[in-house]
Amino acid sequence: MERRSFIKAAAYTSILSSKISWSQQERKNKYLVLIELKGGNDGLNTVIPYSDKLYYSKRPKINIPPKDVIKINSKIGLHPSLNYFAELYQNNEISIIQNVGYHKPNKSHFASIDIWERASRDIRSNGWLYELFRINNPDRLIDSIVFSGSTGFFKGPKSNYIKINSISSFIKEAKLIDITSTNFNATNENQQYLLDSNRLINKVSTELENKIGQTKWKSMANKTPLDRQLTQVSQLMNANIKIPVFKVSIGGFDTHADQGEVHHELLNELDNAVSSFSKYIKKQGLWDNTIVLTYSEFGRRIAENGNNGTDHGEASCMFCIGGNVKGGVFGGKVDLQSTHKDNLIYKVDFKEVYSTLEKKWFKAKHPTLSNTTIDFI
Amino acid sequence: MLPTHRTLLKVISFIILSINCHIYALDLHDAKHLWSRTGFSSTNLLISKHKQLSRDEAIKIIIDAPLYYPPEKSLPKFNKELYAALRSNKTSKKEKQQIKKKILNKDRKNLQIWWYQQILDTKNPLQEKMTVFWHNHFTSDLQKVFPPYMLKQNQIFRIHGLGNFKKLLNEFMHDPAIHIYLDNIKNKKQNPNENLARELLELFTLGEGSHYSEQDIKNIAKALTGYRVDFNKQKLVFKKRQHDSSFVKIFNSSGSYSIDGVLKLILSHPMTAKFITEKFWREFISDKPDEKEIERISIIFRNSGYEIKELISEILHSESFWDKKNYNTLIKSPFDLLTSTLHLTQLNDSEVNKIPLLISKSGQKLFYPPDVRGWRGGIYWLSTELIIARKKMLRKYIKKVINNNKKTDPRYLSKVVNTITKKHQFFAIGDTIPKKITKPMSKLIYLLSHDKYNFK
Repeated sequence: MERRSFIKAAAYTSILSSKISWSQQERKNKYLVLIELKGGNDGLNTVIPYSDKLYYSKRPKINIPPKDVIKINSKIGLHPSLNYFAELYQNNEISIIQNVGYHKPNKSHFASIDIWERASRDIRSNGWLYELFRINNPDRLIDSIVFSGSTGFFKGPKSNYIKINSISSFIKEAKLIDITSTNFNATNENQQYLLDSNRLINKVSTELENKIGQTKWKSMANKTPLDRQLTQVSQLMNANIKIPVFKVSIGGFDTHADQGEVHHELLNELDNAVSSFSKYIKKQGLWDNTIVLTYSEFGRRIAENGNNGTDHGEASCMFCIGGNVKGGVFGGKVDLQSTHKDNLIYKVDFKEVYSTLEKKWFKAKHPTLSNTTIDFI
Repeated sequence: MLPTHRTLLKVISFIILSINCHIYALDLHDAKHLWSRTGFSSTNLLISKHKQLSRDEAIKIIIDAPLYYPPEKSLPKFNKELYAALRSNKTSKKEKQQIKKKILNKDRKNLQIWWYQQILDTKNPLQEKMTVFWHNHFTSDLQKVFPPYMLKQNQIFRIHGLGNFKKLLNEFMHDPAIHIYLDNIKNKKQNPNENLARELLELFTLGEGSHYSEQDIKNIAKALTGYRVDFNKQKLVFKKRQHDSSFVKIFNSSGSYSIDGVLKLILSHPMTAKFITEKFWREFISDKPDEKEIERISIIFRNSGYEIKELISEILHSESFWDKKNYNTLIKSPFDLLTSTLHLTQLNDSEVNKIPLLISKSGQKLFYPPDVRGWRGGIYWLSTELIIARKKMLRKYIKKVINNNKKTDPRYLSKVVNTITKKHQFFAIGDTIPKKITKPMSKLIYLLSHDKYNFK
């Protein structure tokens, strides 16, 4: 058993390139950075249909007045917090996908995020990215580092991601897992799973230490939580690490009451963090290798509720950012007239977004989804 | 020695004297296996006395242990009026926030600590294990359901968790907590809410699959309309006017139903016994179900009129349970991991109020299941972040033991550790401790940081 797993471990390809190469031609790694907006982001106050009177009559108290909207065309504009996003829009570096959702939406936070991340309603099925990478890149040691939020994308029978809070403490704490002192002969699959996971932690932490152990981290003291996560992602990318997906999150979007201020601050944190991340990786020549995608378990009700907030809704918008995106607005107009129980009806299945990433971004030989692709990349 | 052990010793001595049967005497590994699957402690008398016990005798001791009832005066006290005010339309939003600030977090914490105290105090470990099991099966969440209701539900699991499943299901469904948790108090004739109906079939009784249709769920939702909670009396009440008493078809039977009628139909459905049996299989035997055996045991369970002890007895007597390849395969939940450690080191009453937090960092916050499906268990306890968290949890505990030891009699620890490692070095990890490790504390650390310690 031990020998077999040793051979298996040896067969893993390194997650890090053996030689550090700084030339841009060598940088073929493609990255997907997922930003989960936890709680159900209010799409209508993120990308605002400021030309629609219904928007203002349905939201007398929590609307964004036309004068504050950062207009991107004659119909819609961005929330005043999203200055950098607006700049990206001018340069065709952000695709805004509207009306994203799925059939028969579930309004429970956990159930809905589960559906999004598994790309399936079956609670027993594996995560979308687990399936994609296990089929297309079975030899890779890990597919993702998850900094926070749910890990549903990577759920599957074998560990293929590492969840950590901070790289430096992971490197430190991983030493608690001493694979030599308590190594034993696993007598069953579960014991083998633990041994494999231990080796995974050990291998990943060792390689991270070798590669970026000496990195002088930018001071994180004044950074917001999202900024802290994205800063670490950018430094990992800069170290030419061959992990395709990084997952971060920002919580607090469940704005049932007094959402104005809260939502303003959340989008501000998002805009600032994406701004410093993008500027940094642009400088490192990684902009064309990177796609940043925001997602949330659902949007919110069109009409405001009695507490200056909004309740769980259905369709919402997504942002797709990077040097290789088409730029523009996708997914059709937001229709506040024909709705489903006062919710936006989805026009784009989120699986179409995934399918686009599978085929156009990762260029997967064996895509897992058969949905049509969209032109946003 | 814990009082539990003393009582058990008497029972065991009596049995040994009266029955002179050593045919299937347990060896050390068997004893460890049986006891770690059904209790918390590995250093139990059952282990030290194993040679005198046969399988049947040992199982009988476990199953026939008297139920433990938490002393009335130990129960956390909640301010009934304030909790009623929280649910009243007459209370303003601001007042509600003040009440919440004043009592809610404190009560939630106290309730968690209270449960953990019962887990440590119980004289029937299997019973408390089953309380956790049912909490993870019939989930509810302290975030959504206020503490007085979570306590009531918890007591149902404790009192009926080893009794009759029909009774347990009935008590659970006639109790407010689940109706609050799954929005059934908003389920009305004009606007049915399917939340409880769906989970009742999918997660609580039949299991997901083709044994029922979407129409069954819709019709059960109708039958479950009209139930409300009287927040003054903290009781489930039936509002006839909001109940949909129309004729519906549920699994080929037609009629006008309410909770009792629905439960009767569910309990006469053969899938119920099968689904519950499979869950027990995963809890006690292995995470690989054996369809044929589950079918066989589920029939016995159903024919017994859903007696849970019959089910457990059948499971513990099964060939699969004693199949050596199933030993040390199950992964201890964080709760199991720490609780067995506390019992193992017999330093169990130190700072009980910090334990819930310690466990929750390893992924299991009692009273707060991650969602209505509960903790997934199995290898989900061994994700990379949780592996490290478990190590940290045990480290923290060891440090606590050291500090405790400095404060109290230093010889006490040596004594405890030497007992564990000398006599019982097998139990915790099914292995021996290397000879070069001699100091008691090093032995303890070796034991607790061994990877095998994650398994039972």
